[in-house]
Parts: sequence; structure tokens; C-alpha cells
Amino acid sequence: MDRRRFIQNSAYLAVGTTFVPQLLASCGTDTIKRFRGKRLVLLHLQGGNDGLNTFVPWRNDIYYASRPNLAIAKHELIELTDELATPVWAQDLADLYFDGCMALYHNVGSPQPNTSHFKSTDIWHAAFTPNERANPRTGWIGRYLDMASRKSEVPPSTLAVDASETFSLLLKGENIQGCTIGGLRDFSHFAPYLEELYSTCHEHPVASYLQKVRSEAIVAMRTLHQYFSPNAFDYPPSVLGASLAQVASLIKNGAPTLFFFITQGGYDTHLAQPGRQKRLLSELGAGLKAFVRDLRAAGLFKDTLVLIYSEFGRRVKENVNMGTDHGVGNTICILSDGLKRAGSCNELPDLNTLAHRNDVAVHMDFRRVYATVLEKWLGVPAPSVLPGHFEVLDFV
Amino acid sequence: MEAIHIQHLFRRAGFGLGPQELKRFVGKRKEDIVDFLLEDAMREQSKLVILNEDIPVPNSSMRLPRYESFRAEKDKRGVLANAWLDLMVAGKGVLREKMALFWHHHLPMGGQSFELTKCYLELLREHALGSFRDLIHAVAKTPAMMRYLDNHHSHKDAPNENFPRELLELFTLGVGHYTLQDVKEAARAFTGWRYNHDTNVFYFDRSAHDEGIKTFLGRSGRFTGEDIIDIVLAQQQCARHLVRAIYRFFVDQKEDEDIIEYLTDVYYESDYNTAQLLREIFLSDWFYGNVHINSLVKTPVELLVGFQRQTTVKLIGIKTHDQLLWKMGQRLFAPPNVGGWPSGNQWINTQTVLYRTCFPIITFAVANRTVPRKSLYYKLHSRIAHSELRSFRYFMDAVYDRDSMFEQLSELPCSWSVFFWNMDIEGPEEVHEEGILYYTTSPYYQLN
Repeated sequence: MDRRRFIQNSAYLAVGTTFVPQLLASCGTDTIKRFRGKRLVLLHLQGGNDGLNTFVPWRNDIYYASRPNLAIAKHELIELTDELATPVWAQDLADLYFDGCMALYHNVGSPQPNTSHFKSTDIWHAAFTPNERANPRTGWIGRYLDMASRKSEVPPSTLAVDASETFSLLLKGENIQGCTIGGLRDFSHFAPYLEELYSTCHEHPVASYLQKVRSEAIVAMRTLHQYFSPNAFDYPPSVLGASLAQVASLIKNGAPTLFFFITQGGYDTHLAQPGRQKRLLSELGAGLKAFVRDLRAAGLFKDTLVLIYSEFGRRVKENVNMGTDHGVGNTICILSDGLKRAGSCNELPDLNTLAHRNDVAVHMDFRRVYATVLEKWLGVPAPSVLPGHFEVLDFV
Repeated sequence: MEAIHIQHLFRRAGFGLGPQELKRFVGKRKEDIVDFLLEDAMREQSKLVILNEDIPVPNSSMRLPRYESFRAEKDKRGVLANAWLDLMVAGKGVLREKMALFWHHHLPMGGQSFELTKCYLELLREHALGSFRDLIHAVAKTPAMMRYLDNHHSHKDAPNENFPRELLELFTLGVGHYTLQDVKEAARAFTGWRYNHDTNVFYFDRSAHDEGIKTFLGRSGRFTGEDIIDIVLAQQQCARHLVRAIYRFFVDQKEDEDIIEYLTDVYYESDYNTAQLLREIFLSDWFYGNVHINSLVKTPVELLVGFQRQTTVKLIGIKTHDQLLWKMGQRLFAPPNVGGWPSGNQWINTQTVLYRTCFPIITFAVANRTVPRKSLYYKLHSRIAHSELRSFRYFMDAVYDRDSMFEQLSELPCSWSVFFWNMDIEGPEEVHEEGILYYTTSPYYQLN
């Protein structure tokens, strides 16, 4: 790049929005391949959602006895089954349940639980318990990317997109990592300049690593940019709604992405839980409902699986601050029109025999869900990504 | 001392040289420069200024407000982070701020209120170069840390193991140098630690304390939390663990075992005198070895502060720093977890790399007012006071000596090297900005 070109590029900065997107769009519209395969959306409810007040065991006396202030009154419940209900503010979730596109698994968690948000999130994302690997450096999706990159026809980073604000361990592989779309929003204006930067090689090991990651990020950004379009559907005006709308846009336009990671924060309800969880669950329900409707209209929800989980559940007994403390086992929720089995799929938590500190005991290793997704949804052998063999489930 | 070594020292012991600072030090003896760094940092502790005062814009009668007041009310953590970053950029007693930043890495804490966070930061700064003994005793009792690791309601009937575990695992000894039983016994000793929620002052609640005999690291007695800390400090392993962390932060990620052992003795014999340890490092010959120069990856704070010092471009606004640091993965007073921030190549991922290498483009675009609306800058509501720096030569003095730079540039694509060779050092200022942009967006600028 000579000085004149550089100055021209600087001029892009001045011209701004009108000019740059055209330039980006021009890089190969005719070469776009539209992907039509199975996709996975991972939605992490950060902070540890109180599963017992989301999917309520409404016939269980111990539930009411343990939560004199927090148990949800029967007149505020929508019955899903003769023993399970959701609160009325999760009406949208109940609707999805009755649609037959929701599978629930209870008592799910890590065989070696941890009550730190960070450590437990790492356990869920690495798919290693601390005994198996104390300081994991890769996530299970990242390891999938490492494996898939060898035969990938598209830039491997574009296979997994992080739509949260920061970059999760989940999408980090040993050699390949997923990409973020935050950068796409912030840097698409500067793309012409960035493209000048990424073709060089360096001898310094750190500099060359940096250059490699930057190239991946820029290539991914360029590739994905082609698949964004304004969304015609109405999504709720929350951060979650915006993330879901972006993901839907990528899916509908045929982006090569297999994995999407989204977060909704705020579930750490030690204090004043009722109001906070009510707001969060109604926001979650509204966002998911819009997402499902949007993809269904495009005929794509049968090929999209949404996995909704928290790093841990919450204590059965309420605390003195109208809240609940960090627990262990929890209910996870799976959404898709492609489910082979929907509804509440296993036993509800046994509140008579709790784990050591009044916690819902773990009866199902969370990695059985991952193994099922890998083997039966994506069609790859699970042991190539997960540490060992896990019995698969029958929801797909 | 040679330029390349002075620049290395100031990048590691501080946040890099400002323009025209190099000539103050070239030719001076190593001892004098290191003493200057230490004395400058120890003379007096600069005060954190958390006032909403205006900042004058150079060559103009304009003044810009330091913070957006509505945001200052909402985001007091951001205000505190900005006040501290301002001190780093100002560059007075810079070794104190650098060492306090290291302690924030090593004894991380986050998610607490403005008042508690400020107390914690002031402790790190006060004891930054003093004795680690004083620092760890003080940090253990500061409400921010007590709350962060749940040590403020630990009761003899339910001792909390969170703080004692991290104290042993991360802060002092390291995995493998204590047992799970030691953690349990230490937890009993820390029961009854409380703080007054009105005054934020530590107190001891005897009625909640386990008075029984504890057996910890092979010793038995009716230990209190203070005793536990002193027993830990008596282990040479504690000095070794800290020296390793300091070496990795200031020297290299790859540890040299002989040097680690030597420095461990120095630190342990001096009863954890941190200034003395740093002096030993900066006066050594090995610290200036070619293998260590540019061997580290800049932390996001080092990157943003160094950029501002070297270019004299000033980033203003709480959200400017906060958003950039967040996207680069290092929000101050909000570490990802008690393990602290990553290091080395772990800083680099597809998200952080874009912000790390491209923020100068945005910054200069803003300074030149050529930035498009709706860009990152626009969303940040930030302002940037115009740069006083008008010479590429001064900038290059601040980052690297020119000969080495040209060596590095020979690895760049041909057109880039040609650009630099042909650049008119005395030419118009726009050209210098281009040069600075080239350099600050290159991968080499990410190295420290």
C-alpha cells in the first residue's frame, strides 16, 4: 500500500456509512453459498436461573414448605402437566411447550459441581470437570472447530459465532476459534483499511500469532457481513431480543455458521428474586417466541436446535433476603421443531433426598445432552470432542 | 544506557516513554535511571482525582468535561477506573501505578461498590512498593476483598473456605504446597471477620470465631486469621510463588529457574520488600537480554495507556476507556474471575484482536473529525482532546529506536517499508500521523 492508497483509505473514514457497506457487499455476492444444514443455538442464562421457580413442581408440598415467601401461588401458575407448571409471566414459554417444540430435562448438572459462577461456567463450556482438567483452555465447540476446520470449505472461524458482548471459552479451540459479531458492528466501517493489514507474515512468534488471529477475525467479519439483512420481524427491544434477531438473520440468509452463542444476564437472584426473575423470564419468553416464529416462517426451525442452560441451579430452600443461593442440579430446556421427543422427559427433582446442602441432586451429566447433540443432531462422534463416552438421549 | 534498553525498561516498569522523554535518559547510568524510577514512585503517592473538572484542549480556548455527568452518577466504577488510568497516563511515579496494576492482577477483586473498590485500590497503591506482608494483611481485611470471597460472614458453625482457598492457591503458595485439610483449618481461623457496613471498617466478632486449636501447615495452635497469614509468609514457597508471578509480568512468560531461585532469596530475606526486588530485577544484566525485549504481549491497560503517553492523544470519557478495555478483555475492577486476567497469547482472540489493533484508527479518525456517525466513536459518546504530538520522530523515540524499528519493518510488506524509508520526517504533520497509525496498528505494537 503506498501513501496515496493509504490516504484514499483514510478518505473512506470521512465518507463513512454510505460508501463502505457497498464495498464490503461487492466482495463476492455471486459466490455466496447458502448453508442448509442443522444448527445449534446455545443460550446461557447467566448467574444461575432458579429452575424450580421456572418449571414449578406444583404438586410438591416440600417445594411450598421450603419456600414460604418465594413459592409461586397456584393461581399464578399455568399447568404444563399434572405435576409441572410455569408461572403466568412465562406464558410465552408455556405456549412453546404446548406447541410441542420444547423438551425439558431435570436434575441436570456436573458430576463434580462448583458454586462459583466462573468455575461452573467454565465446567459447562469446557465440558471438563475440574478433576478431568483443572484449567481448561478449550471449549467443546472450540474442539469441534479444531476437528471440522480440516475439511471446512468456509473460513473455520465463521462456523461459530459469539453474539454475547465478550468472547467465551466455549468457542475457543486449540487452533481455531469462533468469531464475534460485536466487532462486525464496530469495525465494518474500517474494513477497507483492515484488509490492507492482514496479508503479511512475521517472524516474531507472538506477532505472527497475532496476525493469524487478526486475519481470521477479519475474514470471518467479511464473510458474515454478507449474510446480514434488516429484520422484518418484530423482536422485543431487549439486548437478548437484538441478539436473537441477529442470529435469525444469519440463519435465514444461509450463513455458514453452525453454532451461535447468546447470553442473558441477571439470574443471580440472592436478593429480591420475585420481581427480577419475573422480568427476566418474560423477556426470555418474548425473545424466544419471536425467534421461533421468525424461523418457522422461513421453514428453518426444524433444522435449528436451541439449548437453554445455566451454570447451576439454585438452593431449594429460600434465603432471608427474598432470594435463593447458588445450588447444583437444574432443569435444561431444548427448543426445536425437529424434536423426536418433546415435553418433560424425565423425573422431576426429588425434594425428599437432596444433595449435601439442600440442593437438587444431579442425576444426569450435562454432557449427555452435548453427546446427543453431537451424535444425533450434527452426526459426529462425540468422543472426538467430549472427554469419554456419554450415553445419548432420545430428544432428537 | 542505550536507547533500546531505556525504552524496554520504561515499557516494563511503566507504560512507555512520552515524546522527548528519551533524550533525558540517553547516556545516563543504569543505576541512576533505576533509582530515578524508584524514587519518583516512592517520593509521594499521587492522589486519585475523582473530580468532575474540565480538561483544556491544547491550542484552543475550549474545555471538555472529563466525564459525562449523567454517566458518572451511574457508573462510579468507571469513574474510579478513569481516575486511575489518568494517573498512569500522567506518568508521575509511574512504577507505583504499574506495580499496583500488577497487584490488581495478582489479588483480583471485582463487582463491589465504589466506596469499597476505592479503599481496595488505595491499599494496592499505598503498599505497591512496600512490604507484601503489609499488603496481604491489609487486603485480607479490606471489605471489598472480604465480600468478593465471602469472608465477611464466615461463622464458626459454617466456616467459609472461599477466601482461605484462594489465599493459599492463588495469592501466596500455589497448588501443591498445602492440603485440603489446611484450607479447612485456615477457614476456621478466619471465622468472625466482619466489617461495619456504615464505616466500612474491619472488626473482629469473637462470638463468631472458632477458638479451638487448628493444625495448619504442620503447626498447631489457637490460630487467628492473622496467624494464618504470618505462617504462610514464613514459607519460602510464598516468596517463590510471588517472584514467579512478578517475573512473568515484568520479565518473561518463560521462567528461568536459576533466576527465580535467586530472586526468591532476595525477596524472602528482605521480608517481602517489593521495591528491593524490583530494583534487583531492573539493575540486572539479564533483564535487558535480547530474548526478553518485546517478549510479552501488552495488557489492554498497557496498550491504551502507552498509546496515550506516546501519541499524547488523550482519550476522554468514562465509556471510552471502559468500552475499549472491556472489548479487549480487561475491565478494571471487574476481572473475569478470582484467577485474574489471562496473560501472553491468551489476551488474543478474534474479538480482542480487532479492538487491540484497530483502536488507533478510530482514535485518529476522531481526532481529525473524519469519523462517520454511528461508528464506534459515535456510540461511545467519547471525545478526544487533540494531540500535541506533531512529529513522528518524537513518537518513534518514545516507542522504539529507529534502527530496530526498520529491522522489524523489513518483515512488513514491501510497500510499508518503502513508505517509512521515504517518509519525510520534517514533512507536514498529516504524514506523521499516518506513520504513527501504521506503527500502532502493526502487530509489533502489541508487544511489550
